[in-house]
Amino acid sequence: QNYKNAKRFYLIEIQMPRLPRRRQMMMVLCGAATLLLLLTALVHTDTQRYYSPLRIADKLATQREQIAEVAAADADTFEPGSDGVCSGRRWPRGVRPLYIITPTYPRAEQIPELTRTGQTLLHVDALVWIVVEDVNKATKAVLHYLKSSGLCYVYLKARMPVKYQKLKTKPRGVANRNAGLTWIRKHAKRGGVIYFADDDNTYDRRIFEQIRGTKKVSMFPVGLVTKLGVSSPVVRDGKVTDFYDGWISNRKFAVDMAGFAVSVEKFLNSPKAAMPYIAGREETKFLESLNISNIDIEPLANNCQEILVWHTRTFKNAPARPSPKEINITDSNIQSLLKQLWNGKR
Amino acid sequence: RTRAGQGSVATSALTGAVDTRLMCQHSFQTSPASSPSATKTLPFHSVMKHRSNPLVLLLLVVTAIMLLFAIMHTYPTDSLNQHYVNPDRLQLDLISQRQDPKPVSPVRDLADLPMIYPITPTYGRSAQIADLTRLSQTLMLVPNIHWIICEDSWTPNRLLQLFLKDLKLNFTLILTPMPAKYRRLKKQPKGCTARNAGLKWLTDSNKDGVLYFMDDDNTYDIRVFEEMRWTQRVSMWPVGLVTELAVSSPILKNGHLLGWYDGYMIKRKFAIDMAGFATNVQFMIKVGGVEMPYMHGLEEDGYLRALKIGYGDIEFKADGCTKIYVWHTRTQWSSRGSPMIINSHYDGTNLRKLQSRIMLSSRQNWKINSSYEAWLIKEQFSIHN
Repeated sequence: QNYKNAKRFYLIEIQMPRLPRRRQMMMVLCGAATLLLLLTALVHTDTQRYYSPLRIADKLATQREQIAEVAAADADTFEPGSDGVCSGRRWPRGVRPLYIITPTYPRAEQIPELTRTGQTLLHVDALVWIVVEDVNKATKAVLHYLKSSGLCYVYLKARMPVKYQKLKTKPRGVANRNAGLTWIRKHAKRGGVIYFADDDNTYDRRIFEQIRGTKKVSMFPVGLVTKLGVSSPVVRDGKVTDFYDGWISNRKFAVDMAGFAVSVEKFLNSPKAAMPYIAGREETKFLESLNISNIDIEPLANNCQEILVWHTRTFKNAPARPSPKEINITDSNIQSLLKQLWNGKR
Repeated sequence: RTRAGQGSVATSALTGAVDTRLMCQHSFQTSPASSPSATKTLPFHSVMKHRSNPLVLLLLVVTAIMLLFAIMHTYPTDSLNQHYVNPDRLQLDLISQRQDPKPVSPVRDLADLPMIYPITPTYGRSAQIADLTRLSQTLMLVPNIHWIICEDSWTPNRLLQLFLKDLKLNFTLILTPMPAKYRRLKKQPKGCTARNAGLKWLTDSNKDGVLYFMDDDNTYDIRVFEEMRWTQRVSMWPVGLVTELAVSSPILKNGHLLGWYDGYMIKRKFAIDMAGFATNVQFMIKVGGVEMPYMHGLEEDGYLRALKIGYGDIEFKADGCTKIYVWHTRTQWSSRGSPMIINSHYDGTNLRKLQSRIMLSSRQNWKINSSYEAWLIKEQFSIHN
């Protein structure tokens, strides 16, 4: 009777089973609650934004496992393989390798010079550092530094021939660089670019990426060299016409050793290309043996308008001599320090 | 429950369940008179009185709890309970950790690493930019570094400004010309003004971290920065290539300081090189009035005495002072650029721009002998003609 004039409406029209009123009511209540739960669940399916801490830990664990698998398969190697490249994380695929040949010799400043050159090279990817030492027996300190540096390196030994050791003006570093070139001829199978980097020079890291694009020969200015203060090709309208160098002296290519780079393809095409044992003519004779002329030279460093390489030189220091008798250094740190230092013997 | 209005799905979800039930079963009556009768027939009371199956009641309770749980997670997005993590960033972090070579410390600045403040005095010379370039490339491999460069001049050097424009490090440039009275001396206390200015800047800004006197021509293995980073007061390590003995180091036996191995024969309390120690900045500020004296040869000793430390306060790093991470290399002097580059023969070539990148020798040294220059240029040009 109360419901006679009432409007009946249902929120949801369901086929209700024939149950007592209260049971029906309970069923509707549960159904509605479940539907509401489903609605809230639908609202929160934006899984991109929300991660519970448990899910983050799981994701980290799976990623660590994946990385460990890849790392084991593709282990970081510091020594180049038979094709002249290092595998691992400092070698992006499809990038032309850089072969940096550094001659060195034992002296008090050898390790610091190699340290700061190596730390510059750490900024560059896809690089093989060919360190050639002028010794008969390998220096332990150099090997130790190369292994701990994290660079892809090759260590070679090349002693200057005895007949040149007796000369007044020795052709320095020629045997070392030729040994590096021989290694490249044997091992470089993926192309690349060769650059001669002395260990006491200063290199801005930006020059290496510019060198990487060398097709035949590229040149750029070198600061602090010769009495003119800079050695550079003279570029007119994008072409090299001349050389600004304090010591031209009848050289066809009056450049400094650190002022040019050669592509591996051009080098391999000239089977007799090597550096001669003539003091002062190493660069020009090497470039002439590659059969190039001024039109083949690519000017780098913003058309040779910037200086990115400097020919710095370091003062010589005396070798470590045994400690004075007045100081007792047995069982102290000084003993192990002196063992690490160069004692003056070659 | 609302008497007015129809179809309102409740003010809260809890009562909403009740209201849906109401709507299913009853019509809304607006007259207040009908409320007692409505109350009578309200099924809610009948539910409470009803001795229903306890299982059904349990089901109701469980559903209510689940609903409450779902509702609790509708908090606004800036609640502290939720952690929004970008999974792509997570991936990149893990991959970059793998890519960093092991001996080199990661380059990204980390929030919990103490800051290192190297103070570098420098002055205009032909090899200045070269030395600063290779030093900056070493520092770029070290995280959390703020470089304090102090130049010994009244005006900023043009080439230094060009260098600092391209520098990708945090730095502060301070101009610290040497006072005239010290400039006249034969043995000048070089770099003291610069280092004192750096100390003053750190004190005024009340920085927290480690300060280190870093000269621009020395060689620093990047491992030395990780050795000094956790210094509490003063830490020390060996320096190579110093004096005739080829190394300058504290002499340690079983961790105890016995003396100093240094070839500079002057009696000092702390016989160590400028690059062989680092100080905690807050410790230096607390001591107060710490300055480097203007005495040639006694700068390090004077500074460490001003810190009022004893031998027991020193922390010895570099694996018990058995490794050399710092070398006192010195760059040879190079001549400045010749004025020949200004010759009109080189107009329209790269040399016009290149001359702004080198330090030309001062006008007093120019032997303005145009015929000689003309001959030299002609000689060079004729070979390649």
